[in-house]
Amino acid sequence: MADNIKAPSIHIPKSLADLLTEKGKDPSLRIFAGGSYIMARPFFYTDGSGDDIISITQIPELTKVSQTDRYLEAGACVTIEQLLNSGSYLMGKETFRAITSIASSMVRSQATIGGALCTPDTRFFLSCVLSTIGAQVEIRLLSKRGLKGHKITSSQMWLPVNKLYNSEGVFLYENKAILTKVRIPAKTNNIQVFRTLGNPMREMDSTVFFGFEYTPVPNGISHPNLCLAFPKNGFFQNLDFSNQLSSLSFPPDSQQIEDMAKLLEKKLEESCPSATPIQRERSRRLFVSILYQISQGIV
Amino acid sequence: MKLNCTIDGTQQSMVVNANKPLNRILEELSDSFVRNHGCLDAGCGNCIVLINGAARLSCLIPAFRANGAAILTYAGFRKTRFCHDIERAYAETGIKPCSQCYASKTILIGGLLNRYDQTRASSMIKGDAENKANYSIYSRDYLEREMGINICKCTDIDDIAKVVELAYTYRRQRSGR
Repeated sequence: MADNIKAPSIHIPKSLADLLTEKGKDPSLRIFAGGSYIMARPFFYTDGSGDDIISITQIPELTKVSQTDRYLEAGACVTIEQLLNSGSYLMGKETFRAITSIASSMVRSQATIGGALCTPDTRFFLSCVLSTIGAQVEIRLLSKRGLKGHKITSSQMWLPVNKLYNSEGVFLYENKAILTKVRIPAKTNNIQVFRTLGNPMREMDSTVFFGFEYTPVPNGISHPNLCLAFPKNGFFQNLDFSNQLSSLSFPPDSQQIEDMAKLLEKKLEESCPSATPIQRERSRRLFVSILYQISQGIV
Repeated sequence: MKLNCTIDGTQQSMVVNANKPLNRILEELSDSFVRNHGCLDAGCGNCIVLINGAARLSCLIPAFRANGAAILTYAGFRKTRFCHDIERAYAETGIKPCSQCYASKTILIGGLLNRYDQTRASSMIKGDAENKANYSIYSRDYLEREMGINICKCTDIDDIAKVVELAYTYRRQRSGR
């Protein structure tokens, strides 16, 4: 068995500039943060691919957490456990609870924020939670310059989390950019609801991550933000749908709720065709139950 | 790469592939270490070891991250007084995990008790009181989530809670706290 296994080289850059240069020169280098996703891939070791690894946990810029009154800024290599430890003052209780529920502390202290957001084909709960609360990420886009393309330059930009993925949930910046920071807004008077249905590790085709944030106003809600993530099959955050929701007067009657649910079904079919029927049905039912709970003042 | 680490109190030095998972290294070194690749990694929770005192899934740790670490497998852990506290609690309550998950759950409980100790020594989380309550490591939710990493359902979570509580009492009595 060991014959076909190639030993990879390990690169350990000590600064962000080194990382950008090395990754720019060789885009096939596999970025290794916490390793909880890469190591858990079936046959990670035995498939013999042996891509060279670039370990990024020793880069100070990526392991720093800082906070102001308005937001918390964490480097991409900060673990989810560190985020919970440093962000407990700043985060709303629902956000905190949702992030705590992602995994056991054993996995949380290994998995990093950047790693959880940048998995190429699988969306986890963290992307749904951060997208719902309007978190932003800083990415460094890599480009080659010079006659022979030897000079590596990078440009920096801030994006909302949902812009990292297409409607099928695929990470759009794989091998094109490096995620360096995440900015999480401080808790406000907004109300947040997060739910997970199914087991994301064992039943990927039926799991639904649900996140909903809104500002309560008399007779309605404003700034609603609904985010749905399906681990292997899609990522849904639709501005049109959110606008329709904000025009709903509260408490809505059952017919209005049914109409909104049908609209959600339609939007899901249009924008996330790869979501399985059970995921769409679960999303619809979750949405309906949350709307009923909001209208009865339960959440 | 050359891997230097301490496994069950013995200094080990070996040449391995940098991306080789720690569970495979431990399997080759020790006959008693669980052999289970049926889960395709990170699926069963049977390969838990203590790395520098914290419970970790060894299948998720590549060799290059284990360099310099103090690793304790069940074979080493069972010789410690911390394990004796847990085994005493098993005997006292009459609750015992099945042979398949015994080693892993015992180490997992050992890791939890280490964490309880740390929490007593210093407040683990500062911040919002409500968030602190959600995070409480003494809550049933916490225990359920932590023990859920091992998929074997041979023992009920309430029974595990009794074992954890009793084992922690023994540990505190022994250390005179």
